[in-house]
Amino acid sequence: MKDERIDNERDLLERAIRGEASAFGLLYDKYQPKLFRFIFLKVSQREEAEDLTHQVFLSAWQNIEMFQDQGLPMASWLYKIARNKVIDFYRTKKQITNIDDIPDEVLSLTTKSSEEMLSNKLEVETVYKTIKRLPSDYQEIILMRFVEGLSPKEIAKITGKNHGAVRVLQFRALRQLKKELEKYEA
Amino acid sequence: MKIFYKTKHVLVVLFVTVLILTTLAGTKSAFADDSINAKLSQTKDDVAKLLKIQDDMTIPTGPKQKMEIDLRREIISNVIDVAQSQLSDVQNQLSSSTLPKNDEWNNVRNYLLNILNQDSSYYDNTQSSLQDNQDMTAADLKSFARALEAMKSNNIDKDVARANNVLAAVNINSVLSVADDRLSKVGIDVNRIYSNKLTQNQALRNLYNQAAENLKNAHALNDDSSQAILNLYTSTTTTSTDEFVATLKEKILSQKISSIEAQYPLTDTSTIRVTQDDIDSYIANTVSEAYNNIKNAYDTFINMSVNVKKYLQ
Amino acid sequence: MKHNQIIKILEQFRTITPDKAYSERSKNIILATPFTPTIQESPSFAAATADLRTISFTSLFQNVWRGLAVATATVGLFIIIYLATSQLSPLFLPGLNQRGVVAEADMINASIDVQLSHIQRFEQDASESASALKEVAANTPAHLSESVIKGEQTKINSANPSDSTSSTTSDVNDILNSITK
Repeated sequence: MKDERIDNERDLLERAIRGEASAFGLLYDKYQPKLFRFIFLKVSQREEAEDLTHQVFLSAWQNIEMFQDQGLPMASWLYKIARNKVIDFYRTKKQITNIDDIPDEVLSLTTKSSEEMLSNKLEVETVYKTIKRLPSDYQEIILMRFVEGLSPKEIAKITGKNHGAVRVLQFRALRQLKKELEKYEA
Repeated sequence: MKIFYKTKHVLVVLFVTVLILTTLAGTKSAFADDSINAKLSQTKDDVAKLLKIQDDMTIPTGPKQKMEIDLRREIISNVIDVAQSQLSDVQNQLSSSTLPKNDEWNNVRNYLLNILNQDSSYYDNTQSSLQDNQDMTAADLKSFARALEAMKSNNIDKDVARANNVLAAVNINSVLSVADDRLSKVGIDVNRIYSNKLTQNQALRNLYNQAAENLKNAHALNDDSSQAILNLYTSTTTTSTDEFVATLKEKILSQKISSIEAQYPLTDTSTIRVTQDDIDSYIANTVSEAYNNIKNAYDTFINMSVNVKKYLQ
Repeated sequence: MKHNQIIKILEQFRTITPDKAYSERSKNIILATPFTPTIQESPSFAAATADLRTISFTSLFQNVWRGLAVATATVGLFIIIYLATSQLSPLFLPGLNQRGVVAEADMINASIDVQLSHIQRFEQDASESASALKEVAANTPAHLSESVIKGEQTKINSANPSDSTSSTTSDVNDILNSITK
């Protein structure tokens, strides 16, 4: 089943590189929700996240024939573009968002029953606020690894870091997150 | 026409480029070193704190035990972090270093990288285990630390040291090129001095010969260490590899016996064995000696350049 | 918060999704964008380079000859300087030029020191890490730690009043002696 999916993606990619818009459209459907989520958790504002996600895919479509030259899987390539777009966004942004402002999308995140909903809601808010206080590379590794579910290898390709360095960063980021969470609990 | 075009000027440009790249890599490494130093310093502070807390009778038992456990955990975690950083550093250097482009050196690189990857996995798993088991007692953490220290000191640190020695052995080549070029230029000047009969004093000639001898030794030692690395730090072996290794071990054994006998007489040398540590030390010492010979050659060049007028009187 | 708890909460973030209507709109806009080649010549760029593309053969020929003349003159000048200096000065010894050799030696030594100190530093760091782990693993009696006792000893020695008093007394005696001389 996995091989079929890879073959399908490869086939779609080849068709997209040849200029077939519908093939790119299918790839868009597959990756757009993930990229949107990744960007949203970084910038914390829906409109900005939508705009940046649009730019990522526009850029990807316009430069699709460069994709093969990069030697990356498609997801890694898209995340790489997304990272760069977010970096550029922060460079040109004049206003700094208050990190204590929690987006509604995060506030509404809960899968628990009504009894557990309140404590889960608080936990989610706390974790979100704490992540936003971490250094940006720690935030990023946590998002990529535990929210997006990317492997250390994929993260290494996206960030240009060494595989080992990604693992070190992951441990440090989690440890820092735990430390900060302990302060909240105290 | 030498002033306009000299292929050997290219070597100096190459050396400067390598030096700049090494400096940049070293700068990146230096930033990594700063954070390693900070972490180590923190670790030492934590150890001092741990000992103080153990000694402090004013702290109630419950909180005291918790503080000790937390500190032990922190120390172990920091040590793994530092070790992982150092490992990562050497993996990066191996991956990006300018090893000679042939199968033999690629085998060495892959051999070392495989081992270092396994070591890195060990650290990952150990850190995971530490983070996942939050209920470890002080006794558990002591056993944990003991096992980690044994693995690190007896195995992983040696793997990293091995890789560092290989990098040093490879990086000497660019330095040797520049030194050879300098020897050649100095030789031209020395010949000009004597052919124009500017002096009868042989001091300059002797110094030149001394520098030449140093560089000859540096080359020989470099070849020695390279051959040892190519035959020992690889997973692909042949009959000639086995023969080389046997000969090298004989040499190392003989040196080891001489070194022991210099301190006290040996009645029975049959019990003396060549260990992996002996082999690693041999390679490290050979590389270090090669570098020292180059330094000595340059001391001589400076001596000659400072005193050349005196020698021509 | 435990590790597993944190991971579970992070996984909850996966349920954040984009607005469907926005996604459709965005996709349609993107796919409607023409598939353009990566290198695109702008009209102004094309116009600017148009003139350069028309070069007369005569002007090219003249330019080449002019260039060659300058190059030859420069080369000739260098030959003259070289011959003059090499023939006139028996002490023209570029290989033994002190400044050059010293500078090169500095570079070489720095490069070598980087290599060797890296190895030494690793050994030192490894040794420090090993000491730290040994302390964590040690079953030393709580009140017999060597470093704690030595620390106390240092404090005691530096706080010894008789030492400072005796040195002050000695200073005063010296002053008195010098006055009475």
